[in-house]
Amino acid sequence: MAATLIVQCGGCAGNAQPVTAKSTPAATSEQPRIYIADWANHRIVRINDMRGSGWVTYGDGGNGENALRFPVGICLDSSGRLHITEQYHTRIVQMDDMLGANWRTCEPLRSDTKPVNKFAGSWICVDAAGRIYLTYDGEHRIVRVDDMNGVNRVEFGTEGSGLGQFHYPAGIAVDDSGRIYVADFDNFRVVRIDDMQGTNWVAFGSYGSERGQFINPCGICLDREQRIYVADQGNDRIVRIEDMQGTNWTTIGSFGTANEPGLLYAPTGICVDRAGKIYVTQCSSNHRLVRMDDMTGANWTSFGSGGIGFGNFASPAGICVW
Amino acid sequence: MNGVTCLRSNLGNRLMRTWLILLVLGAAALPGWADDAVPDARTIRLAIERSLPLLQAGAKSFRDRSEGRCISCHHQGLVLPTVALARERGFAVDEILARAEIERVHGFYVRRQDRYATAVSNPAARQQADPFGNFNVHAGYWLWALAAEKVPPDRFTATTARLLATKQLDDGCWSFTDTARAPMQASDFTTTALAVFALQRYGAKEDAVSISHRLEAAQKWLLKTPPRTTDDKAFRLFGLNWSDAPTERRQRAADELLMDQRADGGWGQQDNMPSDAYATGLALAMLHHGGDLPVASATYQRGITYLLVRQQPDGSWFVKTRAIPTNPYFESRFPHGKSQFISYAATCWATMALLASEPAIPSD
Repeated sequence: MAATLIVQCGGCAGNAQPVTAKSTPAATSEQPRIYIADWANHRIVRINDMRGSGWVTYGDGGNGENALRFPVGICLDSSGRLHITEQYHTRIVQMDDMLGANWRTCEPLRSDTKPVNKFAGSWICVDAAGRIYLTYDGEHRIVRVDDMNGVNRVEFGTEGSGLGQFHYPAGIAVDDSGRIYVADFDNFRVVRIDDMQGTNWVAFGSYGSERGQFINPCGICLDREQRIYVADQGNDRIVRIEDMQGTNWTTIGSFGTANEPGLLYAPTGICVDRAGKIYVTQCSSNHRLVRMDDMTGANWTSFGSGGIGFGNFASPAGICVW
Repeated sequence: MNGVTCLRSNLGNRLMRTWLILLVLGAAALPGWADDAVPDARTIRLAIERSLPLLQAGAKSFRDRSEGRCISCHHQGLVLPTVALARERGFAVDEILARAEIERVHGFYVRRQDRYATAVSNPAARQQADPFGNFNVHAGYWLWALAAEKVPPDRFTATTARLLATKQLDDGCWSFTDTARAPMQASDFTTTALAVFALQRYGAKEDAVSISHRLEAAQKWLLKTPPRTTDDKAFRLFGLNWSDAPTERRQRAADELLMDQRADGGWGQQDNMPSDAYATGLALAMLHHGGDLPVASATYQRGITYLLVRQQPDGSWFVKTRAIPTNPYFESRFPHGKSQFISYAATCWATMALLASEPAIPSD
């Protein structure tokens, strides 16, 4: 990992994504681009900055070929290809760019007659080797495949609240060492495992609004220092901890629908860019993103409002900066 | 007899003996519960008199504030069985507000009559009839609510029940595809149990044979599927009663719910959550009306005490929301801000649990 540069893509919830500097166009650009899964508008959005410059969308909510349906998770691999998960399809969508070039799908999730993904949906991240990790809300497990052909599919987790169990897992991220972090939504905790066998299972958090507690942790990502950020959806706050013991527990945010610094309503997706700036989506009726320089909320900036036009979102979920 | 009280079934002396044993064991294990914790009738009555007007006013203000756009999946019509039970127990209710709520819920299905009728015969039209994937949830709750208010079956309720019947899954349960709004819209036990009730109460007579098969399949699903949450267990009991499950299976279901009572006298929505008024009110109401748990039992009294000491001065019960907020936020003027909807539901269930301890007023 010594030769890699960490490009923070919040993949759905952020994935710390090590990539080589020379293979990463965005790594040399001054301004990372922001990708958002615009859930209820059935599209993804890319913008160049928090003013909405370079606004581009893909998907129009239709049911036709190559249409997205309630996209939730979004991340990019080291080649800059987009990976998207949807709430109502048990599949991954991959495409090369915002025009949908080389649209491909992979369905590594179990197909069932029962509706799935009714809580936080299916989230996604890609590790340095290009392996794709998914949470599978409806089946309470995580899945990893090596590529879009579903090669070496492996799954981990069963339904429950004990060791090796999840209940509606949401955001997923992978650190420099390949350890996997999962926001265990309905168990009100964050889980870290070393590998897809669940080695060295560590869980942190319980139900509540105090220190060390979460209500519906959703998005999760890591920064360059491998600190863990959690979109604590039900508590309307962002939590940062330095390790899985909760060291240096830090929060920002409180409930509010006004477009004012410090106010959040149901933060959902989260990612951190190379400069350490924090990006947050809100799936609620706030319909906007927020960016802040750090956990003090410095330079709190928001963008977006409800709707379907330019600068509009409808319950944005996953966010990724690349 | 309303939709709640008609759940009453006689599980027999054996069930009562089991409970008594459990209660004795529970009392021995919980020395913190002293005799003086037993609430008196006047305290209970005052608590009900504080919550009822708040609930009726809350239903009206929600209706006004939402400008009729939404019938509210948040309340799920729970005010109707609460008011019906209150009336039955001799409490004064605002009949004008009660009638407005009934008409609002019933009108929802009247307006959708053609769409639902089309969907019954044309599967391709079902998406249009259920654009958000939550029909099974609201139809179940609201038909139950209408039954509580003794709304007689008509062609509108029959069409709604018929569409509901078509949505049963192969394994016998009813589910939903909308985003979950825990806890009220989160459990297949809830949707299945309420569908069982709705088909029993509002299914058309000419559909009796097919309904019978559906109820049988539903009962099998209810019996074989492990419950996890308090909603699961409470509505499983409800569904087993309404599908006429064997007494010993209903008894076992009641016991499982009963055993989840905690040292503080309450129930939690899930094992990993603290006790709250929503889960406690729901569990007590279902145990009493569906499982014949006597209100005089120590278990019931402990639950009532849990509720009474947590009632807010304004008459409500506060429960923190954990529903994923996908709808525009607005203030319905019921207390507790972003937690107003689950708190409203909690106040309904808590009030129903308290009302159960009041004697019924014989009707003329």
